[in-house]
Amino acid sequence: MMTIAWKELRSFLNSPIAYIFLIAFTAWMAGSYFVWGKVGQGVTFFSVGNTALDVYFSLVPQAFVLLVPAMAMRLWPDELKSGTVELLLTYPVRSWQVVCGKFLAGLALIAIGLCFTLPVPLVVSGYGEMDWGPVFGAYIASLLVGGAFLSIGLFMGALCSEQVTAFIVTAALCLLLVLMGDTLINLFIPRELHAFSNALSFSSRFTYLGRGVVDFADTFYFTSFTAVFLILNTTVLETRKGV
Amino acid sequence: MAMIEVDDLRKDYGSFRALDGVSFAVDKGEILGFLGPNGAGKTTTMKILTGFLYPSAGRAAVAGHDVMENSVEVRRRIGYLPEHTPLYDDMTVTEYLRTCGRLRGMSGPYLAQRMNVVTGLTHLGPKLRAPIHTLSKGYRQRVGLAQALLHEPEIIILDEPTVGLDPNQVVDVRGIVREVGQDRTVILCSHILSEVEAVCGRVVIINRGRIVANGAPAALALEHGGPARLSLSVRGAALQLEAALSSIATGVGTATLTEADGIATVTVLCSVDPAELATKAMDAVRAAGLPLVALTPGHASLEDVFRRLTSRQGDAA
Repeated sequence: MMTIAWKELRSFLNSPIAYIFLIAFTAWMAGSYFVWGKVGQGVTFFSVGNTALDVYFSLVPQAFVLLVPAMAMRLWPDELKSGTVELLLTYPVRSWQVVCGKFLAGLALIAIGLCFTLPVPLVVSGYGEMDWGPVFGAYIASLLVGGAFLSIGLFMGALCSEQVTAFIVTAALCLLLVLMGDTLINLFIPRELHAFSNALSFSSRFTYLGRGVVDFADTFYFTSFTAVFLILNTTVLETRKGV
Repeated sequence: MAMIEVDDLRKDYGSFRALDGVSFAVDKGEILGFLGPNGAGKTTTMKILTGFLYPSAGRAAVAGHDVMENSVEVRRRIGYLPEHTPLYDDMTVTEYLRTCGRLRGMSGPYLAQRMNVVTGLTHLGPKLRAPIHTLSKGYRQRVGLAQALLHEPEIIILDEPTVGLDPNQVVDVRGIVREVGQDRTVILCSHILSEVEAVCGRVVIINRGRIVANGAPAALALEHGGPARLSLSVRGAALQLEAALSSIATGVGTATLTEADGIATVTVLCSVDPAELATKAMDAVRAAGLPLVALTPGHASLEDVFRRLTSRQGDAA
């Protein structure tokens, strides 16, 4: 499994996509926070005027909606198109190990991206008393959200075996998950379903985690969400073998 | 003990039946040629043996392990070169082989030593640091072969290993197959008949998802190859030759007569014993005073067998 993760990470680092991902992510985070403000709110570091970083970290899911699907889209389709999947799946490794290996490689790249955001909390902590609890919670939350998006992307790649299709479907799904529970979106869905959409929403759970409240239910939600898609992914591979 | 046992294997792709009751066995240390026209089910059979596809019905076992129930054990024992040689193009040869080895649980000095052995065997020495996407078709094929041999597998399955290679490379690959086939079980899928004839001790011919022949190439030629051929050339005119042979010409088979550069040739598809016919014909031309230029007995080749078996089936369907 680690061999597969390592192989994928290498192939990431050999391709422009990893660097585009890292640069775009860092630029988006810093740009939104310091220059043009959060989408839909226009809040920047300077207008908030305190050292709480919840606005900064609330940018993460927005960035991930496009960037994680873009990064995840190649993990399966490349393999399916070039036929190397036939090599991989005829080695003595199980399908779930291959899926998890690919997932770990993507997660590692997300983690590297998150490391690039570290300078912001470090710099901001120089301006006043810094509460590191929420920062820690926000990193956990970012990794969980990134992982969940990644698992959707992986699954879609295996299902569609076409990069562009996988990207569009994944990005749309991720966007939906982020927007769900938003008051604006709730206007379009029946009142009875509000509780449902709020429960599914990534944003509200992310916000709680980002405040440093590492709640079991929220963590469990993200991890089980991810697990479901990884299992679905394995099922897709197994189904391809036919019965 | 049979290394590979396939029993009444079926595979359906939707409503299309790709394999329809395929059964055969391969013994330890045997090089088996797996022949068939395109789309006959060769590759499907190999994909089932390597655990990449599950059969719809029937059973296949490798070294006693069922391909469905014990897929990982099966895959551990097989070295597989898929059709079209898929490789990770962004890696160098060394990186690629190392990754393959690790995926097979190899490491340390053993992996290094095996990488040395297989790159030596496949003459990959000069290309070890080259990224795979820069390699020619021939080198790609060798990398695929090296990958399949890396873990000293008991069973090696090669799907069309010489497609797209130039004649020298073909001879190279054949040499490698023969060498590793000395102490291992090899299945060589191909539709290049001369290759199979040159390398394999036994041949299975598959057509439209069914096995239509199974045996040594020579035995198959005798059994399925159709009438033996006898060709006789003399210096002289076609009419002279015809006259000379007229006494023995009845009931021996279909004959064709040609003449070129003062040499007349008769070719007979024998319905009688060709050796006996040859003796009679020689006596007849000698009696007529025609100088004999050549007398060629023609065996039915594997190609004849292949064409007869795979087109006959096509006509019936």
